[in-house]
Amino acid sequence: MSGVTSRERRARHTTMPPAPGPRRRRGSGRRWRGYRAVVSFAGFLVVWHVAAEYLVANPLFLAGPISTVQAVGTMWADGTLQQDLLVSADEFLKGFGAGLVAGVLLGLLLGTSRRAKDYIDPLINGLYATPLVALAPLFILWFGIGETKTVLLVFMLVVLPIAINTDAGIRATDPQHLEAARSFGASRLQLFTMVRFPTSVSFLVAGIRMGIGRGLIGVVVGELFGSQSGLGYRILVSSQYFQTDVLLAGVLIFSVTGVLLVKIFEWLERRVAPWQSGQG
Amino acid sequence: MLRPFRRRPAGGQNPIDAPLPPGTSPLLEIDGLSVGYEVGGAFTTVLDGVSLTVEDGEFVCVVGASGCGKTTLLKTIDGLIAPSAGEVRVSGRTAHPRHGDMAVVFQQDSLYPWRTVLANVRFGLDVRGRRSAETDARSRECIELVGLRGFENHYPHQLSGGMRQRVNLARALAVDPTLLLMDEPFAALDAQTREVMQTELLDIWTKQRKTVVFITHQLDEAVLLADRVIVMAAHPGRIREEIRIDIPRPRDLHTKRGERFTAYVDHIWNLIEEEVRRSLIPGTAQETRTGA
Ligand SMILES: Nc1ncnc2c1ncn2[C@@H]1O[C@H](COP(=O)(O)OP(=O)(O)OP(=O)(O)O)[C@@H](O)[C@H]1O
Ligand SMILES: [Mg+2]
Repeated sequence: MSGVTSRERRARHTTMPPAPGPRRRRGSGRRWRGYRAVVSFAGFLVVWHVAAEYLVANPLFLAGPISTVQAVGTMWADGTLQQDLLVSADEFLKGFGAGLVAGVLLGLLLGTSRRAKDYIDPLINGLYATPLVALAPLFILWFGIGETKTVLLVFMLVVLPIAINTDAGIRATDPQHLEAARSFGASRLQLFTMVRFPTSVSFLVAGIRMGIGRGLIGVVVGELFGSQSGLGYRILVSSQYFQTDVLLAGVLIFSVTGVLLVKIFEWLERRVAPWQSGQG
Repeated sequence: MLRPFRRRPAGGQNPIDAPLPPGTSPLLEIDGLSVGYEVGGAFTTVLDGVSLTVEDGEFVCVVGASGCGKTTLLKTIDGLIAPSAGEVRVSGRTAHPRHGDMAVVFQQDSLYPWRTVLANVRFGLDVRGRRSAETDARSRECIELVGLRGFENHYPHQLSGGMRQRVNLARALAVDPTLLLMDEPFAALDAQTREVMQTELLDIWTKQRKTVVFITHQLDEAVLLADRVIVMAAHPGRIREEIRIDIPRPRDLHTKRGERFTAYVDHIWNLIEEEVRRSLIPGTAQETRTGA
């Protein structure tokens, strides 16, 4: 290299160390955000506690946070919680897994074939706008009161956002990226695997995140209608006996599960798509 | 949708084209090239009868007013755009990206955000075959050549604009092209970084003896780098003049202070000044159109 280069490189090292710089600032920022999250969560618990103990003051209508957590303990101790969780988790995983696979495949089809998109898009838009949980009674008619109808409901709710996002991702491919690949002699298949699909990954990630939330709704609704087990069923039964502590315990477990799933997924995302972080 | 259209060749041979000495065949031959775009049913001729030959190992710069068709010319050379008339031959064969004898450094930053520096540089090799220890080693060599050792595992968004353009250059060099096509690669850089990059490019060119077609807006950049400067005219795009730059090599930034250098820059500026002015005022540029 010329002298100018080494001079420039030296300058670069003094002003910018090779290890990506802003670690310290990001760390403290994260800690602050952590504090704020704790404050807001604690505030919520206080409001809940005050409302339950002093405003409503009737455990038949609203259990407080303390008795709710106690209910979780009791359910764990007598084993009903584990049983319910197992059933619900099983339904969720089956429906979500099938929805993910089918959603990605459908998205790939939509994203690569203009004609397929013209045919399928109106249906997808219609279905996406429909509150699909309204189909739950019909699924009971078809499949009875077993697990199948809940799995199907979860599937229906998950498949659409994933398909829509995969499709959008493939279509969002930067023409500049395609042209560069073509200039290296990339085939149509390579344009797809090396450019279009990687572009769609960040969109797919957003779709999966939506799918998690919608899938959980599917589990609850599926189990509220004609089930004999699962967390949703437990919530329904407890309302019939005015056990609001058990009811809220079920809700609490759902929300904790939702948060956990999203966190696990974000961790996965950082492993699989590290370029996403720091891109705003 | 835009697509190139087919049309009969409009212009003849370029009169400036000097006849080749018998026996030598040039690396790049452009012969009566016409290219147009179809936009909304109307045809626009962008290049009309462009002929040009570039010798093996030559460094050619192309300058011209904005919109005169420089990028179009480059993409047509690379085979990304099909000409409506004429032909481009590289080493005697009709140009095609699959032949793997060319590589492009584009005007815009076209790195893949999901690939690390190493993987970006390896992209062209990945297209051509399996990833292996050799392709990794070859990519590392090119990263070192452009002065980015230590940044192999960075992602593009973690790099400065100058560093990204180095990666772009390394990606093109990695496939070991006989013909390197560069479209204003330094246009987006600040003045200092650009000067550094210019001398580095000259360095690399001296070492590797690639044939380079380099598009630029900067006349001093063109004169500094080139063996020959091609001055283009617009509406339709054609070659106006070829100027051989007789300034001895090796050249560096001091070359820019020489009298010869300034004279070349002035001469080229006089050639294109009027057109540049016209391209800045909307509505005055007349376009050649043929009805649909
Ligand atoms: N894809 C396209 N479809 C239609 N017209 C195009 C297309 N690309 C370029 N053109 C037109 O062709 C002409 C030449 O464009 P080109 O990009 O080759 O110019 P250029 O000399 O590279 O300009 P610049 O110096 O600004 O990069 C312009 O008038 C432009 O509007
Ligand atoms: Mg251009």
